[in-house]
Amino acid sequence: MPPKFDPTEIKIVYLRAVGGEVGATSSLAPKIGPLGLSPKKVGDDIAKATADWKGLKITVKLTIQNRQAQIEVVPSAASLIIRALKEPPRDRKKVKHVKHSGNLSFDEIVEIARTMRPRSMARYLVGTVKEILGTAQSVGCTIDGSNPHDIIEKINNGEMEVPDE
Amino acid sequence: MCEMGRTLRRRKWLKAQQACINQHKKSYQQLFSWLRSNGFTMITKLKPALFKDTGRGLMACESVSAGQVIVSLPRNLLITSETVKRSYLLPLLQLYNKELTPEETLSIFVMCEKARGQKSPWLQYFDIIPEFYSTPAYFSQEAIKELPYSLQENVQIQICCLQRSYQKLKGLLLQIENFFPEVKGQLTFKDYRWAWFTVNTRCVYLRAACKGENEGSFALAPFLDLLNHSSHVQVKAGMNQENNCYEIVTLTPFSKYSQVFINYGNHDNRRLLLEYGFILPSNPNDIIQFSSEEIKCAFEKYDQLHVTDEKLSFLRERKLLSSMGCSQEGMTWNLVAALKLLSVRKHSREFWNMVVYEEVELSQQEQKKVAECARFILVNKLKEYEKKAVPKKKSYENLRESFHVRLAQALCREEQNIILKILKELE
Repeated sequence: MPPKFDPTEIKIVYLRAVGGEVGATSSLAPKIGPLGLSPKKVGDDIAKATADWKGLKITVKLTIQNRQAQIEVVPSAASLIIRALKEPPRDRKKVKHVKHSGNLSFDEIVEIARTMRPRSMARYLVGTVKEILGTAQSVGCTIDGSNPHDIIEKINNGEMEVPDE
Repeated sequence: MCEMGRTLRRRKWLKAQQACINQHKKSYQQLFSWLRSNGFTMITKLKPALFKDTGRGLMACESVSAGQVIVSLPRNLLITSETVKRSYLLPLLQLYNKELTPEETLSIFVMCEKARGQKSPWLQYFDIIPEFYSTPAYFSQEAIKELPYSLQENVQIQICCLQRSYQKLKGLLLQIENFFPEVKGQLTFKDYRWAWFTVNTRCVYLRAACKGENEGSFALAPFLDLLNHSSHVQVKAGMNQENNCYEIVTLTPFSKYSQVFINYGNHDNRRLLLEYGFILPSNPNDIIQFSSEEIKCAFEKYDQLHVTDEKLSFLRERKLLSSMGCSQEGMTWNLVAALKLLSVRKHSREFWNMVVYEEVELSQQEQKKVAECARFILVNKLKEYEKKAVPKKKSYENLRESFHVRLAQALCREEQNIILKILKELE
């Protein structure tokens, strides 16, 4: 018995994909086939919906209701940082072990922290900013010319201020 | 004077429409004044009207833009399990030891309120609810026979469920009759069926106040249930925590004097007919399902090594046997994968995996087999409809019955058209 607008009829599937690329059907089919969707069509749709994440590994959220899929990109700290670095797109197959040695401004980090805020477990925005800075360190970029970890220390000492929200 | 012009037909239709609206005008006016006295405000001006293709619906009296709230209904106007629990039925429900599902609770409440007539506070709402529904459970045997076979089974299951539920509640209903003599004799199976379908066709989803149980996930919403379904619109619905109102926001604009639609969910025509009692012409979500037996049938003459069963269980393990069928866009991926797999000759599970999940080039002979079997399945299905389509020169005395038969025939025609379209594409 279905009430109208029943959200329990909706299935949600998470997938890892490379933005802007049509993945192999074989990787999509086992997950999507049982739900009655065409992996090929979904693959094309994912490539279209992730065009601004070209060449980045991202998590995609598929909301499926009766063989109709809606595609949404789940932001992740690393992919947001790499996207903000605005590196030239390169071929994943040819260039391996990419180094991200760019520079970001602190404001950009705060902006990323705001998009990540709903997914972060931190109580205040400061915590989320520090999480993002930690990711920036592992990505390998610098913030305002200095090492991300120095910024974290500065925040801890109170030398730098982070807006409340 | 010519008696058969387009204009004349149109005028006649308009006149009939006007008459119908006038007849119900008073009930609607009463409904609105009752709604208003309970704190309802109409945000977007809508009024009930009859439409040519959908029947009763709501018409926009002004243009509606995307993102606008169409209907906002205060919580006290919704009928939920909590409403029932706060009502006079509570002591009896508590005494009754059997577990009740939320839809049963609501059905009992609706049935009792309807029986109480003038005494019921929901009188104005029940006044505008139709006395009969056009779901297949109301069909006569003859009308049911017009439906596709697999749907007939579903109808039987639904009716069985309904009867079992009534048997289960019989004790409780007897008690209610004893306690409240005014409802005596009005709690029959027919009334229960009406109440059950009132709940089924008009309910909206509402998240339960207390988590864990699925109680309260159903709510009857007066006025809001006058909105019809269309697959081309998008809406957002839910409780607005700020003003404690159930709100529907449209994401599709509507022009002035056109019908306002909402989307019940992406259902196919069979589901729509079974649960709500209508079908959508050229529904983009429509799908004709094939069972594994039907597909097996097509391969029988090729099957010398008896591997079809093994291949089918291979598909079942991977949960690919569901939603094998065809829609407006063509055959579903699952059906194509199954046909391919059943056509290959090589007997190795590894290779089968590749056939299903990766695009393996089949040999010409195998490709031919796929196409042949696809055509065989489709033509077979088509024959089933053609048997039914033999025109019967029989006039139904009952207007309702003839409407039911026409509805069943329309469903078959829709499905037939899809199959014909795909057959054409295969050529």
